[in-house]
Amino acid sequence: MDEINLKLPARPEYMSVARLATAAIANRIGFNIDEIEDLKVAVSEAGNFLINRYEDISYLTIDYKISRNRSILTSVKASGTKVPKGENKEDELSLFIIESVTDKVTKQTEEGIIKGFTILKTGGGHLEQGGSGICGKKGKGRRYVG
Amino acid sequence: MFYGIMFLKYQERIDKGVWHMNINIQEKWNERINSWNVSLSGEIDIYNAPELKSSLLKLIDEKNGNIIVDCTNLKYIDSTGLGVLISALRRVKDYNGEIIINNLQPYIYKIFTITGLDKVFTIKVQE
Repeated sequence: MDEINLKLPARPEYMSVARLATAAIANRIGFNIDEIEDLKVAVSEAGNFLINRYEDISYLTIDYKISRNRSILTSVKASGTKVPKGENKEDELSLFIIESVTDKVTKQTEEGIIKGFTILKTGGGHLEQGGSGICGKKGKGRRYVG
Repeated sequence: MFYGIMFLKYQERIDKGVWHMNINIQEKWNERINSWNVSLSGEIDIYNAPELKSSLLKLIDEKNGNIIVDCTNLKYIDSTGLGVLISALRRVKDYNGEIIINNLQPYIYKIFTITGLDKVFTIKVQE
């Protein structure tokens, strides 16, 4: 199992860096384009959620664990002091998107407060033309075959 | 000399529309169909979504028309970007207008379908 650790300032301008790194790692182990997009979206939304929800986060740590069966277990966690900003209407949207594009997502909570996410995404499927789904989920024109 | 050329290119980008790091927003009023044509390129995320929001709300304040968004060169949109489109739609609905999203990439359309926003906006996907 290979491990990659990324530590980024928890600021909006660095989310594109997280997406780039995620896409590169997913591409490295042979995810197809749709699977890469899914993981990229999930990691970015996890970062959005944490940045939106807490004041005074210093860093986001993103740890990737790559298995031989072409799955990536990604942990996105906020480090530093966390002062809740309060509910944000986009938080729910972020959570919904993360759950929809990944195989499994677990919230890392301490005393009922979400401090991070563990995201599992398995790749290695291929796209088949003419099906009813896209990227393994809803859509049109292509179907994901795992 | 080199920096002079770089500055001119940067200035050219600013002149063409709102240039904000990873995103470029161009807008034009179309009198014939009473609509704003807005072209988005790049990535809309938590960093530049506020820029998109202020641009769209400024257009709505200027003229109450439909908004036709061309997404041919849009590479990414996240939940904050979707939030901006939803808040713009609320404003547009106040005067019975609509937001039409054209030429969306299939993988971005997926985000609209899983969030149910494909039923809220009029969307045309790239073939």
